[in-house]
Amino acid sequence: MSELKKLHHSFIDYLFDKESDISDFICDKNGANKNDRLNIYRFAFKKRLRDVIDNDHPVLGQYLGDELFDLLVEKYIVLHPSRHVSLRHYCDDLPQFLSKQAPFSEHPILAEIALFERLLMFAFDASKSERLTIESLQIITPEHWPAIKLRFHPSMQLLNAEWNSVESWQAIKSERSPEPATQQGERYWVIWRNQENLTEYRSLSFPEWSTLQNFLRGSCFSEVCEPLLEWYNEQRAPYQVVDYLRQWFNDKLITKIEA
Amino acid sequence: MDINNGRPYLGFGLGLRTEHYHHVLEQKPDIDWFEIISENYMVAGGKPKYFLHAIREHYPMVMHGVSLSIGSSDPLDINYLKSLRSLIAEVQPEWVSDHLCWTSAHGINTHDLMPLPYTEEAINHVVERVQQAQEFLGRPILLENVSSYVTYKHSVISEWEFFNEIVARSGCLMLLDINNIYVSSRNHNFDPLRYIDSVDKEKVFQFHLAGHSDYGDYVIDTHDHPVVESVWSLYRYAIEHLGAVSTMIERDDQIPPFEELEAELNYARGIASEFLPQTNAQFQSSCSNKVSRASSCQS
Repeated sequence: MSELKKLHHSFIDYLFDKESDISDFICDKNGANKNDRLNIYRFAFKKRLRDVIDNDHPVLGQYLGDELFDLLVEKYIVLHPSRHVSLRHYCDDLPQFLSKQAPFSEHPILAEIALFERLLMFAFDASKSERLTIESLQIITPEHWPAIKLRFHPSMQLLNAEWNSVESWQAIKSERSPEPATQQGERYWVIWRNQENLTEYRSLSFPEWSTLQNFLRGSCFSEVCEPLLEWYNEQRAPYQVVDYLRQWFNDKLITKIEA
Repeated sequence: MDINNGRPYLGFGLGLRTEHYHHVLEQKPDIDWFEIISENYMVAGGKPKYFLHAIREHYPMVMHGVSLSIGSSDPLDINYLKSLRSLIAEVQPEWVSDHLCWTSAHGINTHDLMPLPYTEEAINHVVERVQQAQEFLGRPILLENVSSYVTYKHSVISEWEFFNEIVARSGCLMLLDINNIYVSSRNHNFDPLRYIDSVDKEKVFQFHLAGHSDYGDYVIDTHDHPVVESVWSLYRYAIEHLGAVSTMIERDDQIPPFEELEAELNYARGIASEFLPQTNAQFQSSCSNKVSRASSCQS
């Protein structure tokens, strides 16, 4: 191994508090204590990563409190070294980390709050795309309706939450105390970036969620109507899908209709 | 863009920061150019891209990266270079820069500007990688000297000799960070004037100015304070000896109102105008513009 490579490995080990011979590479020069100087790098390294977790997940941090947040930072830095050039992606593994690592895994709401915060970020960073207005439907002839397929804005994200995670996030964001963590049955959310580049989200009923998922999988209008027969009769089901379409146009979520 | 001593000359710029997006778009301040952090715009879309394009319509830009990791022992990150090349095509910057350091190794990113040992092995390694990066991007890049806090036992030459050798052999250009020269000179007890005297004048395309934190025994490059007098003195010396070099102020933390940075930049203009007739004329014009704007506001 080249001297340069050895130095890099030793320095990385030192930053992660592993056994390292990095001080053998450093001079005690001009009165400078080499351990003090090395510590400038380790301190900055850990502080930078802590700041990223804190900035990307402000509500999670408040929900955890200082002591648990410190523990999260300490463990996450060790178990999830950054492998991305951009710090934007540093916390991508955080929801999974929280769902697997004790003591956090004992509180599944934490992983859901983290995931919700990440989906808000993904929506914020997604590419732009022209959005259609509801007038686009008027040019579709009746014989084409059964075959239409939809494309959605790249910022659209879907969340399936079992706990009152989004409600807790909203409470903390509004500087209110969240309700105790409750497993409330599945709840469905859609998150997107609006035309003013602001992120929005709203809850969905299960039939709307299911219809949206089916359109995302590439199903056409007639195909997405079929599963709705579980809740609506044959006459009502197509009109229910049209109601969903109206809402999605109002939300500026649709970017293309393929007839 | 002016040409000065064979170098392109942009005048006086600032680092574009999210806190100032609205101010820049609404007020169109009298700034010659902006420097963007490349990685902040390597996203598909959203607010960063919206403001980047909107501001680019009104100002020249240069791109400054922090993740090229030119001194790493890992292979060059081709995906990163592809993203950089796409962004270059989008922004059409006057030039593109990164740092003479390593930021990642063993597949792990430190997100810090880690110093290299000043050895023949490191020179050969960096020169080869700079040439690869330049070939991939289809243009020369600028490399910036970083602040450092440790001295490697293996170093056999000075930092400026190391920097000069890499520039001479790779064909890259220099972004001299005047504050980093000062910080490293304090941390390693060398003469910062000697650094400036030693660099190849024709290769210096850009200056960075920034603030730091002084702890007495050592100095840390924090970019969270105004430029201090000792760095202004060094800047004065650099302008006197290297001539007109595009100059910008970097602030990355504790970002003040835009007007404060504008005033700091105008201070840099004032220093440069002591030595450069062209800058002096622009400086006088800038001052009289400000006076006439103030008069029209009063009337």
